[in-house]
Amino acid sequence: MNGDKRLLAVTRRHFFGDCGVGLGKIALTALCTRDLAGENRDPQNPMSARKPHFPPKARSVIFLFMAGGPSQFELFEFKPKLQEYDGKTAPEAFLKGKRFAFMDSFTKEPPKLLGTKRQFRRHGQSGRYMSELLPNLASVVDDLSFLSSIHTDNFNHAPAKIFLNTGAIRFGRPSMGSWVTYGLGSESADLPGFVVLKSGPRGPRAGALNWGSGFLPSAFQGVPFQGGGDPILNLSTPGGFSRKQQRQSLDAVQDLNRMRLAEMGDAEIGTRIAAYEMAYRMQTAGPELIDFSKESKATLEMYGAEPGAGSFANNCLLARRLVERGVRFVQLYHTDWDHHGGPVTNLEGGLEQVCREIDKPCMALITDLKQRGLLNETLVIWGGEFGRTPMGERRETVGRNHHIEAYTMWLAGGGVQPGRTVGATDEFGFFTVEDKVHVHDIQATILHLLGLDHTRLTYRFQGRDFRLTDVGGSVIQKLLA
Amino acid sequence: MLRDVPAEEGARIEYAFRLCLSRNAQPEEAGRLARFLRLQQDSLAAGAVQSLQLKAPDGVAPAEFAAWTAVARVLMNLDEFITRE
Repeated sequence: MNGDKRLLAVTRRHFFGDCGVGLGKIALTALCTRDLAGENRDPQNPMSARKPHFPPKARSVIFLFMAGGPSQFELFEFKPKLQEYDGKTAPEAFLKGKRFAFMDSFTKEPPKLLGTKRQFRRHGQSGRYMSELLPNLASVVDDLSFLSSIHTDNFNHAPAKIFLNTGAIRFGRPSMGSWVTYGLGSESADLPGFVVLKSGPRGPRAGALNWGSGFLPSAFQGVPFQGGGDPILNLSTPGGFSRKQQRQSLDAVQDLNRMRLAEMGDAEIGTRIAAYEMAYRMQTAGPELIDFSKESKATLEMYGAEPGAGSFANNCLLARRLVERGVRFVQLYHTDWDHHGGPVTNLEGGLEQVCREIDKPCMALITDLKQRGLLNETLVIWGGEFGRTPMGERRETVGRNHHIEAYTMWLAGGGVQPGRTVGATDEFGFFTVEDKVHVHDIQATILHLLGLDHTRLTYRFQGRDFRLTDVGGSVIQKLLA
Repeated sequence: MLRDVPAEEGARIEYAFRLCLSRNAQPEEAGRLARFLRLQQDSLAAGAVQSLQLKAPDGVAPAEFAAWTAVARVLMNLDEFITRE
């Protein structure tokens, strides 16, 4: 071989293992000793449960990600002044120097404020306003707490979703679930520590980047289950091959992999060893997990779950079963909330449809967790990547544009003080006037409730210590119990 | 492999290893594969034979073919085989 070809033939692993210096072995030792609290971390067992920085309130997270940006004005934020000014031109302060997702909407004619046609009334002891579109959720309003003053940095779906998930608008960083399992592992040895469930007509924008592990070892990436039909494929051993033979094959593969890991010191080999073991265990744990036949009829009805439906209702029930079995982080994506006023995605039938899909299941999830004594240690989060504007957007029908200045999410369980609202916006709901909260603050708070200091959960990459909250974020004390 | 390499277990394992991973097997690696092969041969001989579903080439006993297929599967599922660096 001539010089160039020879260089190409030399692999990265060659340098780690065969250069005579035994770098692989040194790397492996380093891997084994680097950890949160100085505990030894076994690269073959990246998901082993680990202690947080301080005692946690929550042990698991269920993140109900409403993809597309739900309209807070149709659901949670009652603004009589907006009603009064319906159809009037929006104040200059709302537009001057601002950029919006769809400039067309606002250049053809001056943007007009849009009131809501949805009826609002107070609910529960807390007296929290909620609209008629979420009657079931309203019945458990006293278990919820609201953040009404969230602001985010980017008004497009993919970057905003990546921002809420990874703390940066450019992709390449680990997602929340990855950071959490990197820090804490999982309580389940038989199921993935970070599971992603999807429902609705399509997946979320930015796709797998939302649950990617970035520069963290790939063991921490989110594991998506299937939509309709069986959530997990290929669980049964193929015909003609016994489970015993499968175990023997697996043992041979793993032993050889382990020899290679010892030689090379590449953490990704450890990831693969762990993944193969988990896959084997999932063959028994998986069918048990997705089998709804043990659930009572009352439970199934409460969620509105039907086996094989692949619905948000099914996914909520699955989420409860997952955290019951010790899974650390479950993220549900439901599309589509992006109501710009198109023929289907609008604040009329479009919004009504998607509300119907999530209203009962959300109520059921909270109720179910509470009844099983799991709500105190499970942090439930509901929201999207941004909100919608108080100005209307006129396409085929009526809608609103993306709004990043102030929007609303709710949380429940896991150390959150129930019945509270943090943050207030002006009378048109455009700007925050009290307790402004940034996405980084939400991320810091989630980590805090899990017992993690967001400034200490770091990973050295490209010469600096990265963290979920980038260089910002502070815990929202007013939200805590 | 069964056709090209003389019927000696060690040589066949070496051949398969080099074909899949472009390197010689370490003694402990070859030993581990040999152990696996023997396990398969034993259980197949003892009648855990679904190998009748496999179409063995002429002159090769189905059980033998099944055992070596299993070895090939192990090699092709190694991290080193799947990951190209």
